Amino acid sequence: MTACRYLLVLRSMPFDGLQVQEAIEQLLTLAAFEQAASVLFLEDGVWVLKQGQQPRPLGYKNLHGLVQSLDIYDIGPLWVEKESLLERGLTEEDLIVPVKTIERSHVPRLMAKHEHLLPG
Amino acid sequence: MKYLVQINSSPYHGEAADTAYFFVAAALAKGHRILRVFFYQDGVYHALDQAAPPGDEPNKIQRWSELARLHGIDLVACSAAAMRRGVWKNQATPLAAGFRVAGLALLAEAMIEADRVLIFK
Repeated sequence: MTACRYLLVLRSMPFDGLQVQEAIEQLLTLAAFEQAASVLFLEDGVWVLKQGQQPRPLGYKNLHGLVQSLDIYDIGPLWVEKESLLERGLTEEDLIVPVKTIERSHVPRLMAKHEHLLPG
Repeated sequence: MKYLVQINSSPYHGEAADTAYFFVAAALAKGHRILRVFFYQDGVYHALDQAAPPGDEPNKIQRWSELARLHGIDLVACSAAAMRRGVWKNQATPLAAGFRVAGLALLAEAMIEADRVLIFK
């Protein structure tokens, strides 16, 4: 694990208003300023990564393009809490991008390695 | 200490924006420097210039304008978030006193410079 300045802690459902989209856009801006950043998908935040979503008819833009652009901006690793996946019946094969899983008991240590935690 | 304060919540949704206001007022009173207050997501509703609550209610927008007038703090609403919500269209759009609109770059820049970053959601 490398030391990293910013960690976006994404725990919201993908279409709970625009908070996920706008939180990711904020992180992309920080990355454009060459700030090291990564993301932790936690609790209902893991649904953001679930493949096969079609939110357009419900009035939302598909977030998958935004999630896939994280790699282009050198944002990562993308951490996913193992228990959050298990509790929702999801596995890594259900996700749209490669991730690193982390056990709940290790999350505090991951957070402590970052200077700033951003809520999302 | 240099603080960057980010507010993601609208003035009348929950307590986040109230807590942010009281934090900023207290920090200024203690002599700290507020680099910028950045209004993002639904926080951009703070920049609306037509808020007129009944006289016996606190005005949650005007109190920011007052803080900006007294201390010269920089109140910035995110342009993309404000356009999306119809709060801002162009330079001719009136905003609450003390507010201006700018891009996320101004947020990133202040986050990098600040000793502490506080986000009220």
